[in-house]
Amino acid sequence: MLSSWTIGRKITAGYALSLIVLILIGTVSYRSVDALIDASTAVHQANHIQGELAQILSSMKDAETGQRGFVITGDETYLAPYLSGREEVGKEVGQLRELFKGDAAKQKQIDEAERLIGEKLAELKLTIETRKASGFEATLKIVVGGTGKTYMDDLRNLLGVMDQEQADLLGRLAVAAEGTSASAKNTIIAGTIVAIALMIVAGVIIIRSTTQQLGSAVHDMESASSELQAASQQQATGAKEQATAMAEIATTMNELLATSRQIADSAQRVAQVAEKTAGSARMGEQTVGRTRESMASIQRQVELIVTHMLDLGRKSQQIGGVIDLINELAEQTNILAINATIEAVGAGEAGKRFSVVADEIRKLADRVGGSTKEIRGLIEDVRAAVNTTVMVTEAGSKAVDAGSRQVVDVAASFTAIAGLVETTTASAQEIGLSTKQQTTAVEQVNGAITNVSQASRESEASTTQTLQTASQLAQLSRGLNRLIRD
Amino acid sequence: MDGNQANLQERMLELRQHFNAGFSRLLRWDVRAEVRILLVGVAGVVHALPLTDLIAFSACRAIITLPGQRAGCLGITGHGGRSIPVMSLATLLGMDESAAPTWLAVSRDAVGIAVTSFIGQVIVGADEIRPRDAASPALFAHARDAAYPIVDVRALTRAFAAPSTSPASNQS
Repeated sequence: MLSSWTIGRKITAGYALSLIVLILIGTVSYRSVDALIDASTAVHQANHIQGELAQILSSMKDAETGQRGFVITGDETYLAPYLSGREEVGKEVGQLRELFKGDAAKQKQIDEAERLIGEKLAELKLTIETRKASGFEATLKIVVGGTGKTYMDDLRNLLGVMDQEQADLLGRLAVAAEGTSASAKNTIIAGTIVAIALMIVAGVIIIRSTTQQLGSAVHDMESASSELQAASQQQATGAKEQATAMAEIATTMNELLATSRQIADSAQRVAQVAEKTAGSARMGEQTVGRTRESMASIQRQVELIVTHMLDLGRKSQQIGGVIDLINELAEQTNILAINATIEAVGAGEAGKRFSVVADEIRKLADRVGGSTKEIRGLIEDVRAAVNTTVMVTEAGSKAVDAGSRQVVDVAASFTAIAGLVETTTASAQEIGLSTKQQTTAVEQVNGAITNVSQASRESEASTTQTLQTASQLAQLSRGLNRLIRD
Repeated sequence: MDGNQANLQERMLELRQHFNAGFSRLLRWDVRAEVRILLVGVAGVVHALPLTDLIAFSACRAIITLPGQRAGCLGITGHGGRSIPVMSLATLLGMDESAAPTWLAVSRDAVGIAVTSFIGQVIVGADEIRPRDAASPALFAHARDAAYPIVDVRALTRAFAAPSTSPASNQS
């Protein structure tokens, strides 16, 4: 069970056991001393009582001596002992009564002694007055009568009894005090021996178990000191590396801080450029709106041109039809002229003039046919030009449509650009704000890193000190181990 | 006024002057010195038909085919209040013609000669009617910087009218 106790507990138990023994010894000694003190007090009181008894008897003797000297001599100067004795005896009786306060039996004895004293003093007073008044002889008769002697003897006996009682009491107190003293001596001697034995046993046990535990603890502490030393070494190395890393991080954070400030400035410039771009986009949107209106007008004009050109094409086609009609008429005229010529040739000389006219008609028909061919060619050119113009115009219309759609797209793009620029502005402002917050955070982090770096350096110093302390502790452990083992 | 319109005005003036001069010119027509011919197309080849061999030239009207008609005869058609036979000039000349006839020349024998195209009428000098070269006796009308074979309409129609005929073209 003791092996599981701590050293403090063992020491406390040893001290508690010794304390119990000391308390026992002290208690016994106290009670013995208290009994001795009570016995001494009782002895002192008994001696005091004996003294008072002796003093009462002495005062009564003084009073009787003074009475006798006056009675014999008639000289009142002999009354001085009488007077002092009579005065003292009252006080002494009172003191004696006080000493026996609470003791009824003794108080009765004191009452009896006080009566006897009173009777005696009255007899002495009577004799003195008788001497003064009646002379010696009369006085002698009273004395010879023996009353005073009786009183005095009774008083002396009573006081003797009381004195003897005190003497007996003193004897008993002496015996009791001797027993108490012997008991106290024995108790102290035995208790001291027991206490010494117990303390030796407890000391041996405590020393053995403590040495064992301390040895184990010191061994553990030695191992722990070695481990602590190694750990401190590693921690010192780590703290040094950490301090170096924190310095690098601090440098990096400074660079990051500068970069964040540059980003904040750039974001602010981007926001300004974005605002200008937004203004340009709005102006562009207005310009595109006007361009869209112009394009719509151009489109209407182009559609009108197409309509007119198609109408022109239809009119050209109608002209072609008329030209066909004219050509047909010219061809028929030509055929008629040919037939007229044939008839004129058949008529011989008579048809000569008619033949000339028919020939002219034919030539005229030929010219008309040639002209109609030219007109047809021109009409074809016109139709081709109209078709080309229509196609070109339709292509232009389509281009205008495409342009209008593109303008619409451009307008939408401008609107989108304006929206995007606003978004960009807001984003740039957010970036600026975030970057400022980031800068503040980086500054705080930089401060924290500076503190951490300082802490790392302090930790490095502390770790170095810890390493030194661990080394010293290991050395102390080895020394303590040697002390314990030796 | 642009250049085209000026040319047109100039041409109109020329035509007017030529037309007016026609009434004041001296009539000159030597039948023996000038030959009037019609240029027609047959099977892609232009042939010359002398007007003196014709009595009419018109667009080809409806041709009614006849049962058992001879080769080269397309049928009959109406002309001048009477029915005349119509023959294919291409067939008569022994040429392959896939196109339908559009024009009809009527010979003095009242035989219709169907051709596919009409080129026009030209007047050439008598000396322009000659063989193209010395190796062939066939006559050609030389006009417009070209030589056109002259179809002997009379011989052709006579051969058509005869029980057995052979092509009478001057074409070699």
